Amino acid sequence: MKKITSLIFIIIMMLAFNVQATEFEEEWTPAIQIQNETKTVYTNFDIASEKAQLGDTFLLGEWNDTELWRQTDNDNALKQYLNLSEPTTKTLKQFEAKTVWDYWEYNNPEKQIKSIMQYYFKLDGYNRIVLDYINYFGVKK
Amino acid sequence: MKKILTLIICLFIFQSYSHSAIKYLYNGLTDLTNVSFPLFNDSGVYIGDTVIPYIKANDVDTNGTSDSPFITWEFAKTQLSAGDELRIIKSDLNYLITTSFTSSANLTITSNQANLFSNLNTGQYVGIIQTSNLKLLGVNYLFHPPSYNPCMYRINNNNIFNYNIFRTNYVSFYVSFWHEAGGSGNYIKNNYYEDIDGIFSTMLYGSNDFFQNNVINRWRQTYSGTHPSAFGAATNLTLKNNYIYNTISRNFYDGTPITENNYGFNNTWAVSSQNLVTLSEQDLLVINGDTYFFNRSDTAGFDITGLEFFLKYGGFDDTEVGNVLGLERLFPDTTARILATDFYTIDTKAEITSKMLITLGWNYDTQTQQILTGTTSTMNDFVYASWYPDSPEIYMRLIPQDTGEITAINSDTNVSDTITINDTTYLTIDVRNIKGASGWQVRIWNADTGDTFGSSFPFEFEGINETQLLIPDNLPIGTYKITVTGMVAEEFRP
Repeated sequence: MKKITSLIFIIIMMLAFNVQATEFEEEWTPAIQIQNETKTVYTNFDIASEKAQLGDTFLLGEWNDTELWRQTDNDNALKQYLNLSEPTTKTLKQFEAKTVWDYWEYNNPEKQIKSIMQYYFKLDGYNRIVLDYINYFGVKK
Repeated sequence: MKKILTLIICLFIFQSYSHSAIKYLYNGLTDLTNVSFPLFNDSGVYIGDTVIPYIKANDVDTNGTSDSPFITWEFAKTQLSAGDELRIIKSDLNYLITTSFTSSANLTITSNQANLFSNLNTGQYVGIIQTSNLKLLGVNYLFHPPSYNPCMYRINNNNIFNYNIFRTNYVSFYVSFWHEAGGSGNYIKNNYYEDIDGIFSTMLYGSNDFFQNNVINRWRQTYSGTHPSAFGAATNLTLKNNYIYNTISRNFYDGTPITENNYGFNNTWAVSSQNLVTLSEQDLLVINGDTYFFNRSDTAGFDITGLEFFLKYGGFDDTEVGNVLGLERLFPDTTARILATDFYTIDTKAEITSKMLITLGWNYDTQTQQILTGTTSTMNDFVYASWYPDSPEIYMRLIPQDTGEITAINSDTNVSDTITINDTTYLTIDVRNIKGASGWQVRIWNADTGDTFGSSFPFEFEGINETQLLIPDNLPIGTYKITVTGMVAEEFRP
């Protein structure tokens, strides 16, 4: 009996590994999630812009049918949708008496969503001003 | 009208390239002066060194010039435009990768082996992902993802990864290079890859790529499922001159265990971790805690002038010497870290070493060696080349007599503990001197005990040279090496 139990256990483990490996092959599609009470995820950016209200923001991420939505902060798909590789507006701010980037805007007049990169800086352990993180998101205009 | 058109075209071309720039990333705490830095051509091949006169230790992460470099990778990567080259300067601190990098722009990232460290935990596609037209040259990348199913790179088209050192210590399913469907034309050459602590992993998952001159060290690869091997589900790959060791996968595709001690095709050699391992940690070069994929015995030393130190590693044909020289010279400050203590135990200064050589009368810098394992191995066409910069090379071809085979029966078969030489007790070795040595010597020796069982006296080179070595009966199983040493006699020294 013990042997059978062990055998079943081993088979389950092998299947688990195979599921894990198979899972790797599933494709994720670029998607955006509207930040209102619906939290709807869209893979079609045009439809997303139609459904949004002025000033609504979108998180950037990916979608697949198994794991559904996940945020990735990858703005590449949105830039491609906007057909913009360079920002159209860059603004500066002061941080610890130094001038640093504040936010970059990718704004195509023909589209109803614009993409924002907002920079946040910090002091590192050596008292240098270094990038802390970048907030990527879309905005309905 | 023609002149106007020409002018317009020139202006257009100028405009196209005017945004290209060299940008610098340096996170060190002290200013640097006269930094040697590798240069590469458009194909990603090393072509020489340049000297960067001054690099400031910056206090704000905003600019990118050499006197005001970026400080963090995460910031620098957002500041790159198509055509840019980002030079990452090696420092005592790691460059942290905290978010994935995605780009289709024509970018070049070069480094003098700066350390990039990634511990991303954002899902299975992490690291550098969905890149096209990216050249990544000369970085030292440690990938330590805490989540399952990570990728170090997820690549599309026309990427070039040359002269990099990749290490990962993830413990489950893992892919270094995930090739996007429909992608092609990725060149992965002259890299060292090490899976430090993985259970199973895949080096390359994809198709239509060129995978050449890489050294892959995989161990603890115990899983034989869907993607168990070095090249999981890879199709239509161009494989050439790769060396895989510490692996259990025989054919690189389906996880069939290796039953011989080594197995190869397309000049790609796999060495089983369950039998004899012909390359060990001790065969790698460790400099200041960093491991490089050089054999110790024949890859570092001074050239025949006694004035130039060199590093090299093997497995390349003549047409690829340029690439190899690039790697040899990629570490311009290695002269200060001499490994030549393998040869010269006391003083590693060139002029004093040269003096010692003159006393001895011979220069051993042109050594080359070929590993023989206790294995079933056809020795025909077993070619190994050795070289050092700016000099011709010794070219060695081993041609066994009669059957052309040396047969070893390893202990796993419980048949014999000895190597049996079929129909001959001699091994013929041809050496073609194209490196300028005036004489040569050859020996076969046990890599574990150091015992030499066949050797020749020094010969003078004259055209293509040939000698025969006696191979004794009942040779104990083990790892054997043939060493051919090119020598320059005192009277021939410049």
